[in-house]
Amino acid sequence: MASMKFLVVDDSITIRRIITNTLKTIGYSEVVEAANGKEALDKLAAVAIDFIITDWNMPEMNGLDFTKEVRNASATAELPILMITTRGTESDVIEALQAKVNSYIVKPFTPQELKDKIDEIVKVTSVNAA
Amino acid sequence: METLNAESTMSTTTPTGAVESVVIALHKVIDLLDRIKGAIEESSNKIPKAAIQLSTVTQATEMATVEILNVLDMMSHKIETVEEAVARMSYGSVNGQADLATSVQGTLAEVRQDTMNITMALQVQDITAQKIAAANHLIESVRLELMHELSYFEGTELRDRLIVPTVTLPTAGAVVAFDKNASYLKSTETQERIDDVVRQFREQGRSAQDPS
Repeated sequence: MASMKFLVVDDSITIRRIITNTLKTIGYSEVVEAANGKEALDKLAAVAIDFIITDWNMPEMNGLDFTKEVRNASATAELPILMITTRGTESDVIEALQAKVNSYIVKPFTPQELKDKIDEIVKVTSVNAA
Repeated sequence: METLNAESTMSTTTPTGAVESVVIALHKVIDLLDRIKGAIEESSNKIPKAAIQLSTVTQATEMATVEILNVLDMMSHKIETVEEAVARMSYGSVNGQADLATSVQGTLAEVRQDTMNITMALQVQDITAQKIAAANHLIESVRLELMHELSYFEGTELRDRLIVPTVTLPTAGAVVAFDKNASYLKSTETQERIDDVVRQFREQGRSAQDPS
């Protein structure tokens, strides 16, 4: 699965760079970046993406609305989505799950947490696809 | 909006009319004072909240800085160890050079992990940015409220004296999304609690699909 192409969506340049560097460290070198949901939808239309990592609080279009748009489009409806956000209340997590994110990490995160969540999502989606 | 204008409220011709005008003017002043009181009360509530947001920025940056300094101390020590090992190897006075090379490789792997830990600590930038955005939002709402009250003095000399030159903020016009509760303090329990919520949500989803 190391050839997977990731779409990293976050309005913070620092966080995008941290996630991209972490992905490279754990073996995923193909990464496309976007600064908000709207930009991410444009990237999704232009590039074949295998896995989405998105923030929640972003200008233009937030991560929750972006997730709903992705799920509503037949071409992207099944893409794995991992949300990484500062929002950590139970109601936040449930709202994100209702929007159909596959998993959820609260910032600040560790490389191990990111790796574990990606592995878990890939495993589940592979089983479901089989 | 109705404004406080001495000229319009006092322009009367009869004594009875003058008294009425004074009463009307007094009502307007009382109304204005009530509104100013409300604006001050609201500002008094918001300013401490902004101050708290900013103090958490200090805490978060300090924690991250200490984390980074600790990692740098460890890295410095490891680099010294590697330098000593390389020096011994270069003099050719080492028995078991293969073991030493393995040890050096291990130390370098640890240094790589340390650099990763520094990278992760820099997530503080995103968290403090959201805290500062939240504080900015509170300060801006206080400014708008006060400006709104000042508009009551439209066309008066007092307003001209009270209005300060406008300062254009670097973030003016920019849409900023933030989480006012963002925190750099994350324990393993936080993620475990979230994983539990995710697990329960999935189990509920499964049992809803398969009631048997």
